[in-house]
Amino acid sequence: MAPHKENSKNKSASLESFSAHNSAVQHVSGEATFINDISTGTKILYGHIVYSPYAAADICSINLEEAIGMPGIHAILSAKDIPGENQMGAVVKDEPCLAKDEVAFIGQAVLLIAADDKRAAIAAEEKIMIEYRQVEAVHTLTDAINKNLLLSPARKIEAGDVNKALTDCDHVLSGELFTGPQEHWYLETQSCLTVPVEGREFKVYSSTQHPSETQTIISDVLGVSKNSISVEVRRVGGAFGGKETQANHIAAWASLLAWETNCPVKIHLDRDTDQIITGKRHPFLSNYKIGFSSEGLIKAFDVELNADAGSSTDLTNAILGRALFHVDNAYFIPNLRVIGRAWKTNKPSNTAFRGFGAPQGMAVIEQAIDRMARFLGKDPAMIRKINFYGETNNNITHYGEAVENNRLHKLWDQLTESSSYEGKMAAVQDFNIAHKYKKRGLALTPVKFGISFTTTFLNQAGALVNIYTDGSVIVNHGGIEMGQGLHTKIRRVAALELGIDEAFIRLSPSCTDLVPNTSATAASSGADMNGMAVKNACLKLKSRLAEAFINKMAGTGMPDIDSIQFENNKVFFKEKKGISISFQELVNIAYHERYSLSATGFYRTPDIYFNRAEGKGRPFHYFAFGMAVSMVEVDTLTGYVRLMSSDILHDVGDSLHPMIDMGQVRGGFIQGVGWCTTEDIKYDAKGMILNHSPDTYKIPTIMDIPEDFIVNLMDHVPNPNTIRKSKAVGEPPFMLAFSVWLAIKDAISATAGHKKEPGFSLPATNEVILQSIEKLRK
Amino acid sequence: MSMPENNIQFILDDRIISLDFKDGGAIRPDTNLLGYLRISGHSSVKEGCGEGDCGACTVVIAEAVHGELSYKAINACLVFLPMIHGCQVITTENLSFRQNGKLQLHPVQQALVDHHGSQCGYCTPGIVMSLFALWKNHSRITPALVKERLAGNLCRCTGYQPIIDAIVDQSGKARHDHFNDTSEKITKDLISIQQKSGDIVISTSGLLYLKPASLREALKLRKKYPEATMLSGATDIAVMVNKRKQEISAYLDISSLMDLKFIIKGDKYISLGSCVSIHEMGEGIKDDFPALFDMIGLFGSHQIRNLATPGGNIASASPIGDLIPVLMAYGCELELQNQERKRTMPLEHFIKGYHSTEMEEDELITALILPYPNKNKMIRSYKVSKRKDVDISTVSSAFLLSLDKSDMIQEAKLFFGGMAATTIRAVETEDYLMGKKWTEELAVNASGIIRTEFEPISDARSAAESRKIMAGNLLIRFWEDTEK
Repeated sequence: MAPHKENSKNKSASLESFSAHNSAVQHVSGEATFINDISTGTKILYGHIVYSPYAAADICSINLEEAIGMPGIHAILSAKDIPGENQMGAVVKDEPCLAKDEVAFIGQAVLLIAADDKRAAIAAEEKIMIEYRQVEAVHTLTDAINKNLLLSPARKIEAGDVNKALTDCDHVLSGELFTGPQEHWYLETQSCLTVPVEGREFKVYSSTQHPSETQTIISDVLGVSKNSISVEVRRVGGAFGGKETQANHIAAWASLLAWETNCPVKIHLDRDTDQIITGKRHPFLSNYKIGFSSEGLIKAFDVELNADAGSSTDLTNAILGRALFHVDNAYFIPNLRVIGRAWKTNKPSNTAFRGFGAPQGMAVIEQAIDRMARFLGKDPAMIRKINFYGETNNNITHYGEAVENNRLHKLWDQLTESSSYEGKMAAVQDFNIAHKYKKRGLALTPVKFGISFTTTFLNQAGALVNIYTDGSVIVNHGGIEMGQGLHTKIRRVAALELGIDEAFIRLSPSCTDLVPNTSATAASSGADMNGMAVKNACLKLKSRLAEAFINKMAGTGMPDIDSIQFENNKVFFKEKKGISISFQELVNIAYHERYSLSATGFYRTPDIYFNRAEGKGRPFHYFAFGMAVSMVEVDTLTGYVRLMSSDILHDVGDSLHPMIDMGQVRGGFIQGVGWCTTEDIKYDAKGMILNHSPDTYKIPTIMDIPEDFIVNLMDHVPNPNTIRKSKAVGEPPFMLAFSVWLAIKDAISATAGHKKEPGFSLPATNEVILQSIEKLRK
Repeated sequence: MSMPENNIQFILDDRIISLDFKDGGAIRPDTNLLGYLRISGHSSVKEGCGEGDCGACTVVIAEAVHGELSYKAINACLVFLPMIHGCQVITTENLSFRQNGKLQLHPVQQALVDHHGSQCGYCTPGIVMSLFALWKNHSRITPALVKERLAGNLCRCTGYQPIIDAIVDQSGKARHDHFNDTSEKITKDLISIQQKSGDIVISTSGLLYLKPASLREALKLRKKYPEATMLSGATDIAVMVNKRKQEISAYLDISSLMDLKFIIKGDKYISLGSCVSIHEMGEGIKDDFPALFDMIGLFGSHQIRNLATPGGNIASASPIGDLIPVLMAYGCELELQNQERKRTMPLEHFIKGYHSTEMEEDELITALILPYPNKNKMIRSYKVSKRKDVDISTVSSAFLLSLDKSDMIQEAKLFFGGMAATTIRAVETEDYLMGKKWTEELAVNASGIIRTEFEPISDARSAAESRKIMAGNLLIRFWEDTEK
């Protein structure tokens, strides 16, 4: 089946039946409320963080005398004022809420100030005297490795006999790859408003991806039970993993100040502070050996991943785990050994970011294959193709999971045709012959991405669906809306299940009072898991309504939900469509017959497990696939990259909402392009981040998208055993940006006639490109 | 009659707002428009960075120009309140309205909804305002125009394509909105504010904010308060204030000096008032000074180009001031004026060092004089930055060469920004080039000299070594671009 041929920009016309983002009207009219827009009726105090200016130091003394009585100052808190536990590590309790005796990174919170406004808080901060004694700090991953500052024991997954295969194969290449940090750059900086309610209860409005964990951390820090903390999230202004754990910090601080002052307190970080104090995507330094045949078949891959964890654990172990699971990307490698180590440095703890370690893992194999191709004098895309996982054999990953419903070969066939891959390659070659100082490059890269939290117990979700007597419905679920369109998809799921128009359904803000003990909206799993939970709640309600319907219509008989259809705002017997009743009327009948019109739903992802000791199992419910072809033109004199085209074909199963899914593919891809090209972070000798505002930290603008940006979703690829046969889409497209990264490398390589291996790293900034070309010229 | 001196007036929500600055009040003359709008119930206007790089606070300013309203998108975080005196301020809230209880979206808002142009929604109000200004000013809307106008609006979610599709879909469609219905009254009100306006002198909360209405008064105040920080577009000063890098106690705001907003095309030169916006400057010079026009295209974002002025860019004398090298290459002269006299001097002589100029304490830059380039001169400008658009130069340059009939170099001027504490010429390389034939080999050899001629710094943008490579390579780029 051919993919949609038309350019993505024309696609909307045929898809008008899919409703707009459920907040679209509020977004465009400016009515959409974010944390910083909430007013409470009473004065909200300004929460301010005093943080460490040193990467590593002992705190000798803190003197607040002058500051404490200043006008407009309501409270200044230090570690000793914390009523509960001084701890806010999400997984391992190695992260103090406020530094007590020592600081471990620039940006670590030491004191909190509640003030009338920012001006007063800063004036007070200037009068606070903190005496530090600096100690030796570790600024780079290499330093940490040399000093053996291992965060936790190394992890390994191994399949086959790597040592033997490396000895037996025709060729072996070895190398090293550095992939850089990435700042999330959510438009809405970290924010939280905590409002004291009576009796030491707190209402917390947090921009968090994980309200339940935010609730847990606040209850730990305040030393109160979780049922006195209610965390509510209406919407998050972008998160991308950056608000999975680190939003907890801001929430804990705001809540401490609210506890102390008994006033509402808001912390809304300014951009520079946000970029200085929060963690980034983990930089990785990876070493590899790849063994292969003269035809280009990969026989062995031996890789060591080194992650820069920053100063504490945060989610590093899980991120490293996902990197280990994804070093194969889309390729069957019979002998594979991957060892992952995370190292401690004196930086803010690095954290979740779209892809969650998979991009760092995949970058290594993609770079290695690119090198193989140059070594063998072949097209890298062909090397990729012959190594793809098979559909029926050669389909077991290094951790023992079978790659089922493999779409790679279909993607290849469709995309190489729709993107005119061969025509583009010929055009690139012609251009490069004719041009000395501008070179073009082309690359095709695939993505295979495992869907599920690799920590199995997290794969659970809950929902609460209420029907009111007028037939209107409110849906609550454990996921949060951060722009990805989750609520829009969920509304559609509920509408289709209940057979009513979306207009009758409203999504409530996510709230820990309504759906408890939720998992983070992360791992691309939001719609998969919460969609199923909502469906299960709807099934319960339908079963009750069906009973009421049968009682009303037939007067007798056991309710058999299968004999009743809910469709077009009507309820009827499948066999006798003439006997119908409106949904609204049935709801009213059911109410008077005293049926509960409120139901919870729950879902746990089936059949997933993983044995960490053996490195084997079935950690993923399924895989998502995608493929991209990108063409660039590099000005070899300035390092400027012109992104001429990207053709993307992505597998989302039967899409829950094609426009929203395409939005995720485009947005994820462009974010990946940023990581691969311009999003560069430098530090000074003291470990201070130099790129802490958009002045020097450059995410893609509208000018940086491909001149020809063609995005399509695969047709007719239902995914078994998921909500409405759909697939998760949040993270996988991010890694399609490797097509841009390697197209740049292809253009660099053209300056030396593809005879020499260019030096390369990630991001490929104009600086990296120029240095690489410079070396090739020598 | 002139107005009370500590008061400003503007139109917001279709009403004339008269704002008095009071001692100790939350609203100060250096409160930015973003802060004011948010506390006055316009929470659609978001802060994303406080430095004009993200566009989340984009609003539209309407001014009465020649009896008609002109709409321009600006960053509300870069504008001090007195700068909007006599303007209408339009926010996203003003675009939609309720009719019989139902929300009526503006066509640009509806287009974004229809094309799925918002995801998290935080950047959306700013994007709506940039699109609104574009929609108001252009009936034909191409993707290239959209990209130029939206480069200053960062979105981290959508990948931008649906935003482009949404507004391009409006191209050529009938234009009517509720602003058309009120424009006559708004114009009248704005003109009446302007006519009543005199010099604004605000002294409050230990701050002095001077906003003269005429050049004469400006020069008087300049003499009286030489320590006052001067601003015209404020795109630099406002960032300093927002980020508390500098405590400023006195401002001399020359942003509304109509006396310095002229573009005169003479026979031998174009004369530009120092307070025209960079955008207006670009429109004025594009036919005659292509290398300058190229550089203006890379100058900040459209919102910044609407505020920033050539006078401000030159007076700040930044080593990476985008316009300075190319203006020097065109032989730009400056007109400086104090209460007693006018004088002119070449821009090249005006810049003394790092943020240091020959401007006297009582002087203002009043005009830039740009002689039309001789046809046999080849002039090009280049800017290398990590990201092509809305970025600060890592290295910038402007080159001038005159060749005789046999391609021998008779004149060579190579200006560089980002390579030293100030804009600097590659003198050794220029000497090397003189009298030689302009060939690829010569350019390559000369690029090697450029690499050794400067000692640039390493910073957040680039390592010193890369700057040297870039600077040298730009000469080869120049050769290729001028190759016949």
